[in-house]
Amino acid sequence: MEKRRKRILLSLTIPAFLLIFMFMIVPLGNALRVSFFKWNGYSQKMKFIGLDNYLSIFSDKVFRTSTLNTFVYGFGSTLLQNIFGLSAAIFVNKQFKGRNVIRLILYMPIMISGVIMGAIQYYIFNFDNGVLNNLLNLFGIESIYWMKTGVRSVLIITLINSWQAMGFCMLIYLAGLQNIPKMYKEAALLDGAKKRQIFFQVELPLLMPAITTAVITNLIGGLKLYDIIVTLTNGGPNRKSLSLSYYISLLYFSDEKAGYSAAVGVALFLIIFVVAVPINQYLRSKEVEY
Amino acid sequence: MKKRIGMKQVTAMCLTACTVLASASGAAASEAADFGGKTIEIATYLSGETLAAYKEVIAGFEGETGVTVTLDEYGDDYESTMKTRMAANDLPDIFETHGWSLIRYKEYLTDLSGEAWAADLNKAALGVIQDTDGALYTLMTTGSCLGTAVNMDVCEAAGVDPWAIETWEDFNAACDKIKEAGYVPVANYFTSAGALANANGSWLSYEGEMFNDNEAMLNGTWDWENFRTILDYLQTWFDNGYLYEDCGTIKQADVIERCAKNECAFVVGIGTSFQAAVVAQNPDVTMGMIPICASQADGARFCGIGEGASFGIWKDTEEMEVCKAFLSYVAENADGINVAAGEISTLPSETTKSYGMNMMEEMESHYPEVFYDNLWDRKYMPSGMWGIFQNAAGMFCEDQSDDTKQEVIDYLKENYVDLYEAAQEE
Repeated sequence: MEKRRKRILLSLTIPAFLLIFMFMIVPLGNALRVSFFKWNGYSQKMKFIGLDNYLSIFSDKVFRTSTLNTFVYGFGSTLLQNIFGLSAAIFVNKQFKGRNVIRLILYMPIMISGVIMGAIQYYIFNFDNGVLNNLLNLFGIESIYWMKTGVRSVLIITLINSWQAMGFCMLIYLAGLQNIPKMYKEAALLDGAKKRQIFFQVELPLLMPAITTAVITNLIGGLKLYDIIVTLTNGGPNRKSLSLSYYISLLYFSDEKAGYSAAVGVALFLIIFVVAVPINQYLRSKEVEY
Repeated sequence: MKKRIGMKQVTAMCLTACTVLASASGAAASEAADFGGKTIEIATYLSGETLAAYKEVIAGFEGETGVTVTLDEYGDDYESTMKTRMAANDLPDIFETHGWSLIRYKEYLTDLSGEAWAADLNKAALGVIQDTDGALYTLMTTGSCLGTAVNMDVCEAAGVDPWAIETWEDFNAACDKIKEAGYVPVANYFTSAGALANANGSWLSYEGEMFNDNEAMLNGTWDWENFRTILDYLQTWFDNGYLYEDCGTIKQADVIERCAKNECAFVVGIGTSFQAAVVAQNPDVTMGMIPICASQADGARFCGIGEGASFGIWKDTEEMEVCKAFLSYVAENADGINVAAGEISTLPSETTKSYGMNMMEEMESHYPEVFYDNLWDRKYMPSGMWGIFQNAAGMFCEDQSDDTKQEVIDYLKENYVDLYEAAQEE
């Protein structure tokens, strides 16, 4: 009976495995193959150049800037999303009138696609006639060229991405908070624990599974950030706000360097793998059973 | 100067042969009536009114022949999608070639030089799309005419006569007056490759100009050193404060909006569809076009002609006859597309003069010596350089120091050599 059950369960995973194989393993294998070629991305002819594409990565300034930006998008967004997401979850977990409306408002940005969010923010941060500058002008403050430098653009993108995905984090933490049995909190109260102590010493450790999910999901999402950048800054000024994902796309489609683009893609895969796996394992080791 | 094609030639060829296709159209339609039940796939990047006009033509073809057309509207993703479809060698039966019928798409296209409409294409069109062996890979119903867009109202308010501008020196003098009057003289945006690519012929490619480097450009030996002259000139735009402060991050849509508000005077190296878009936003604005300036007195005054709405047939299509019938039908009914595009017609089927055509005629009346050549990058650069010019424009916009100029030149040269070699290996 147990053997039959296992067989059924195993057969149920086959569609998922097939999809992963077709849409992840095969493209990854193909990207690895293409990364050893000089190819414009559309011709039927490719030239084998060995490791040249990988060696070019080391002298590529744009790759360095994009990698740094990718880390800012990944870690910066993860930090902000989790701090604000957890704070929002604690707030909307309380009983008060209009709680559901507040939950909905906080969750709404994540329902908008990144491309549309970037386009909306473009008109907010636009130097000429942008919403933000128009507001500043009302108070007699001169317009600010928000996207003048790469650093500013990267920070603005990080803030927008954090704000947008905060609702998702809030939802994970809200579910986590509501899953914590009340008896632990009541026992702590009986022992004379203060609110702060209850949060840090009772609730937070019990929230570790939710923290693991939120951190890893946000981190991978941030490291792969693409859509907001396309419509908000288009990677500018001067390719200074590119993420590696967007850089890969530009290399392939705009610069017609498909082989090099594939090599950068493999590098991004390794970066995400090297960063996400240890963090995931560390966070899982901190999870507690209850 | 290899190809000087007079404007009068272009206009005359477009408008005097309106009746040529009238008899052919009936024959083509009756032949096409046998295609009932067949399906073809068409990919397009057209949008807005031009797309609506194209859809009307498609509906007419479907109605007359019984063919079902599946239209893929790729919009801004057109180039990327077409590149992936070329890589998979699985292309739509008919697709637009948008300036790349020879350099990029040729190996996937059918030679259409034997089609009836091919003989009706005007010389300006043939100069852009005909291969050296006479092969023709696309039906070009409209041409994009690229010059300097002028906001006539701003010029008038600033006391500038745009028709008197001949050289870059004249252009800068006009810009000084416009700036003094409180307007932004040049609305070029450095998020586009056009800022660094579209006007280059003025210095580098024609008789009477500073350099004539065409041969070296085409045989892959060009050293790019003369490109510094262009960067030196463009630096004056930055130094003299002619540009918008955010010229490094704005898009064409922003410039159209600002021009429609009468904020700025010129956009150098842009097609007539730009002026059409400005006027669509604000019909009270008067827009005009002057050629690209000459680099010195008595130098060449030129405009670029590029593929506008142009349609090619995949060489491996299973419905070759249906596709050819469709292109014949488009050739006979391209009027609506031309008018909506605001570009210039290349076929005698045009009966309504488009916005772009009117603008060209006005320009020609002021500059009888203007000549037309293919878009500079499409003619002298290998495929892939457009994106490289876009990156270089961003680099230059951020910093115009001598070091950056050298960096820009090195970057352009490195990629030019790379892409040229790749093109030779094809």
